[in-house]
Amino acid sequence: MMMHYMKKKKTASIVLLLLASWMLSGIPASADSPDDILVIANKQVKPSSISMDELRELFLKQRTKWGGSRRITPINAKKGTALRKKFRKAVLQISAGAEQTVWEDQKIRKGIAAPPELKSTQKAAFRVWGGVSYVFRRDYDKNVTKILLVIPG
Amino acid sequence: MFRLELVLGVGFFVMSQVAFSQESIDQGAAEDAEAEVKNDKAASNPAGTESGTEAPPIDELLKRMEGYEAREKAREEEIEELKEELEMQAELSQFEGAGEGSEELDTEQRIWIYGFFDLSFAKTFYKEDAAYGMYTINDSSFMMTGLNVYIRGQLTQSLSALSELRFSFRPVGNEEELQIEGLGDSEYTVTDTGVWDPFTIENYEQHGVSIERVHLTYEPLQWLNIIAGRYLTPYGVWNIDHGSPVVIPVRWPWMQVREMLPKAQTGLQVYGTFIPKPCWFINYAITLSNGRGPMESVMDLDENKAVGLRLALAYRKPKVEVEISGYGYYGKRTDEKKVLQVFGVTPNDELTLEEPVRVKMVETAVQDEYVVSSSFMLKLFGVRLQSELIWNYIEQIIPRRMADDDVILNGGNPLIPMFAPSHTGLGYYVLLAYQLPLDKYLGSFRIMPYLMWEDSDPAEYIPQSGSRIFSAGLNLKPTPNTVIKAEYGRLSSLSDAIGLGEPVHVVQAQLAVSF
Repeated sequence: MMMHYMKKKKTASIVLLLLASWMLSGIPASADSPDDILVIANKQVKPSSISMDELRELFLKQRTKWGGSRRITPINAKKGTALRKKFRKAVLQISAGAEQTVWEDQKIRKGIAAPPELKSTQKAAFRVWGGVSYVFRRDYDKNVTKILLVIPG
Repeated sequence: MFRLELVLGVGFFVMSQVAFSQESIDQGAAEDAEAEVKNDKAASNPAGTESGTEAPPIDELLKRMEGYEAREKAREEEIEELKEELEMQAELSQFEGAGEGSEELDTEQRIWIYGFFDLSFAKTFYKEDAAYGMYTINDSSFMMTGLNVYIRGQLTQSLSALSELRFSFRPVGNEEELQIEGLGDSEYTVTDTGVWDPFTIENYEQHGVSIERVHLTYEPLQWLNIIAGRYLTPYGVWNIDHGSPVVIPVRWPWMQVREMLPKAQTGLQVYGTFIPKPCWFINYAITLSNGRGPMESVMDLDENKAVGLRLALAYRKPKVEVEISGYGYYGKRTDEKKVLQVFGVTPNDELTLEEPVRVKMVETAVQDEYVVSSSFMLKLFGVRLQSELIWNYIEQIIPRRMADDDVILNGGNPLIPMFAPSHTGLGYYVLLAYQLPLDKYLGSFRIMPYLMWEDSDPAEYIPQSGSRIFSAGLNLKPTPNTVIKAEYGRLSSLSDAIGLGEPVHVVQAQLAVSF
C-alpha cells in the first residue's frame, strides 16, 4: 500500500510539473523586454505620447508639424538593420520595396524626400529639434530623450 | 732567493688586488640586485607597504590585475564612444546646421537634383487614310517625350523652392502646316532644327526646354502653406501624380491631354491639411492665377484673375485608403493684339514728335470658363479603384476662331474662319487595378494588371473630337525606380463623320525610369 501511495505521489508530481511548464510557456514576455522598440523624441517636443497611427503618419510625412510651427523630423535607422526592419513591419506595415516606392513616387509628385537614415538614432533624436526616432530598449539612454510610445518586441 | 720572495710578494699583491676588485664587483652586483628587488617591490606595491622581503599575496595580485583590466576596458569604451561621436558628426554634417554650436539641425537636403524619363513604343492600327492620321502615325515607333529634371532647394526650415524642367526633343518634327489638297494652296512643313557646328562641321538638332513648374513654398503650419510661382493645378489624382513612373497606364486620359482644366497655373496657391483625428485628412487648396491665355505663364492680358478651390477628404490606413476630392475653377481667357496708333504723319511719311503715339489693346477673343472636377480613389488590400470627372462650360464673350484641325473635324474649310460657340464639355474615366499578392515569391517586384474605360467629349460642338477608349494593360515594377507598362487600347470616335467610324487599335509599351 505504501508503494502504491509513493507511486501515486510521484505521478502527481510529474503531472504538476508538466502542467506548470505548459502554463508558464504561455505567459507573454515581460513589458520591459530588451527587444521592445521605444519611440523617442527630443525632450523639447511637446507631446508626451503618440498613437501608432500618428507615428505612421509622421514617418510617411503625412503629418509634418507638432501642432505649433515646429517641423517634425522623423529619423530612420539604417536600411537593412534589425531595428529598421522591425519598425517598418510594426508601424508602416509595408515591405522595404514598397516603402522605397512610396518615396520615389512622392519625390515626383511633390518633391518630398524620405526621412534621413542615421546609425545612432538616439543621438540624432537628441540633437535634432522636432526629431523623433526609435531605438531598442536595450540601447536606450533615459537621460537624452523621452519615450512617446513602446512597441513590444 | 731574494728574487723569489719579490716575485711571490708581487704575485700576492696582484692577487689581493684582483680579489679586492672581484669583491667590489660582487658587492656592487649584490647591491644592484637588492636595489632591483626594492624597485620591484615599490612598483608592485605603490601604496608603499613594506612587506620586507615577502612577495604580495596572490589575492592582491589578482585584485590589481582586475583593476588594470577594468581601466583598460573603460578606455576601450571611451574610444568606442569617441568613434561613434565622430561617425555621428560625419553623418549630421551632411545636413545644414542652424547656427554655430546650435543643436538645431535641418535634416532636409540642401539641394536635391533628381528626375525621370520614359521610352515608349507604339503601333497604331487604323483604316488607311483615316482622319486619325492628323494626330498620330500608324507606323510602329519608339518615342521619347523627354527628360524631366527636378531641382529642389531647402532654404530654411519652412521655406523651399522646387523647379521641374522638361527637356524635350521637340520642336523637332512639329507639323507647322498641313498640305490640304483641293482647298487653296498650302504646303506641308515640319520643323527642322538642324544646325551646323562651325568648327567641327557636325550637324546636330537643337531641342527645347519647357518649365513644368517653378515655385517657392512657405510651410509655416500644417494647415496653412503658400506657393508662389508656376504650380501644377491641384485637381484630381493624376495631375498631382504627374510623372510617367507614378501614373499607372501608358497614356494619359484624353480629357487631361486636352486640358479641360489647365495643367498648371502661374500665381499663388494657399493650401493645407487638417487632421481631426488619426488617419483622417481634410485637404484644401485655393488658387489665384493668370488663368488661361496665349501667354498666361508669362503675363495676363486682362484684369480678371482665375480662382479655384479644392477640397479633399481622405482616410488612410496601411491596407485601406479612400479619398474623394473636388476642384472648382473660374477664369476668363482673353486674347488680344497690341496696336500702335501714330498721329502726325507728314506728307513724306515721317513721324513728327509733336503728336502722341497711342497704344491700343484690341481683344480678339474672350471666354468665360467654368469648370468643376471630382475624383475618387479607393485602395483596398491591393485593389485600386480610381475615377475622375471634369465638366466645363465655356461662354464665348468674343468668340474664338477655331483651329484648322477643329474646322476640318467640323466639316468646314480651314481657309474660311469658323468661330467656336458657347459649349459644354464632359470627360471621365474609371480605372480598376489589382496588385497581385506575390510578395512572398517575388519580393518587391510588383505586378499590377489594370483596366480603364474613358469617355470624353471636350467640346460638344465638335463630336469628332470626343472619344471612348477602352484600355487593358500590365504595370510591372521590378524595382522602385523602374516601371514597365504594356497596354492595348481601343478608341472609338463619338462621330462617324469624316471617316472616323472605324475604331483605332493601339498596342504600346513603356519603360519609365526615375533617378
